[in-house]
Amino acid sequence: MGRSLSVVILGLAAALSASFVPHFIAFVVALVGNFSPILDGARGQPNLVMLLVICWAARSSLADGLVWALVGGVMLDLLSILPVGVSSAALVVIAYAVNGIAQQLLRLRIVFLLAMTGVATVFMTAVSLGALFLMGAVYDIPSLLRLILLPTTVYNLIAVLPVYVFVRLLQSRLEGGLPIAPHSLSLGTEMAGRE
Amino acid sequence: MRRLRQPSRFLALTLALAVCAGLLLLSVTGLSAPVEAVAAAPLHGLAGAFNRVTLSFNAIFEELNNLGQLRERIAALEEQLARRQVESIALREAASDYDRLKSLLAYTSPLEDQEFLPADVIAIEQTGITRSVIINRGTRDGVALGMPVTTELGLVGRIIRVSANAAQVQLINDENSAVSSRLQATRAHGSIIGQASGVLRLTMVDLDEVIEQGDLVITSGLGGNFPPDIVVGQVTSVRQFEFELFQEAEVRSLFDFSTLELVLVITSFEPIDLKVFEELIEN
Repeated sequence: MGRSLSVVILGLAAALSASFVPHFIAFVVALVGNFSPILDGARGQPNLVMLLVICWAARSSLADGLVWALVGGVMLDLLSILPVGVSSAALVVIAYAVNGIAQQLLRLRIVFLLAMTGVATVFMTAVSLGALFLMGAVYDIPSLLRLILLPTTVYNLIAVLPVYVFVRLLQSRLEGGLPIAPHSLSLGTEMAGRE
Repeated sequence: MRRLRQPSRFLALTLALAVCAGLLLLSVTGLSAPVEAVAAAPLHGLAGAFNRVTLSFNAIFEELNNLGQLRERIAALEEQLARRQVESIALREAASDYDRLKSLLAYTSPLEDQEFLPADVIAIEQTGITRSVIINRGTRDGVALGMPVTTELGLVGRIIRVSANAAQVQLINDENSAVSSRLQATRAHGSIIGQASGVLRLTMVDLDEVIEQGDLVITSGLGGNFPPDIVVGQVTSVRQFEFELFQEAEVRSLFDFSTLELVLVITSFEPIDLKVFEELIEN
């Protein structure tokens, strides 16, 4: 159920990332851009698909995480100029890493989720840049770091928490239709045990 | 909970990456292009729908955001509009004056033997009993009693009272006005008199004369009160009875007496007083 659901949810997330999210970010930047130098001229945006994959991989089996990563990557690439398979490969690696680390923890902590999100963002950006570089595109790396990677990381760090809540609620609704997460998120100390 | 062992995990990763590599290979070589196109279609549709909705909301937010600025802008534009309206009215008046003066000039230019004095109508007879107007020219400007007053469209009347800086003009549609006239086509003589209704009537035309609807009526110059060949009006209907000595016709002036604004006083014309000859005949 969760695997077939991934097509719908990740498709929606990819479509939102390609339509609503950029407008919303532009609105936010216009609203608070004067107060935040980081956002001045920023072009990044949260990667909802990647965040869903991270959260799903953290709370489910590796097989499910990899399926979500493959599907999510295809969705992302279908709406970008990257060849299909690039984002999938990056997300597969991310899902593998997140799931592997999450298996070792007794409880998921916010710090873990944030740290994984930060690293995953850098990795995804690096993979995308590498693919674009191989396709012949040339970019000014310092500017990209400042204008895309930094804001994207900030947006992802902010967005990962609501995405995690959404994934947790979704998995709870599915009720045993899929392997339940090995860990629940803990807000620092002891918040929620394993479901 | 089903946990994969470390070798199995690595195998799953390898398998997934192999799938990715396959997808990448197919995509780069273009072999999967048709499939990608089909798969991307619903995504594009979905993204387009979201985009349209988002843009609608964006427009609303932008409008809300600009509401204050728009209000200020509207206030400034309203102020500008008010100023422009005042200017526009002044310009329209100037244009209207220009048109009238241009018409008058076109009318007066061919009549080089006549001297015209333009005058503004400053008052209209209020009682309605008599039909007259007051102009802003008087004896200081050379206006004298009896001088004819015209517009480029025809005869208006004559000066019946004059002060230093104003004069009263009896209109030809006044009941007490009579103007010696003739039909331009047949040269038949008659007299234009005013009616209570304000309509001009051509009277005293011999029964033998033919009056056609549309004939132009001009001053004849007989009697010495008006110079000849000034347009009076146009025949609109003819009345002819065998038991009467003369036939009559209704004449319509070419302008509206109630909207007179600018007139011309023919200052070079001196009315001839025929009373002297009448007295001689009586004696």
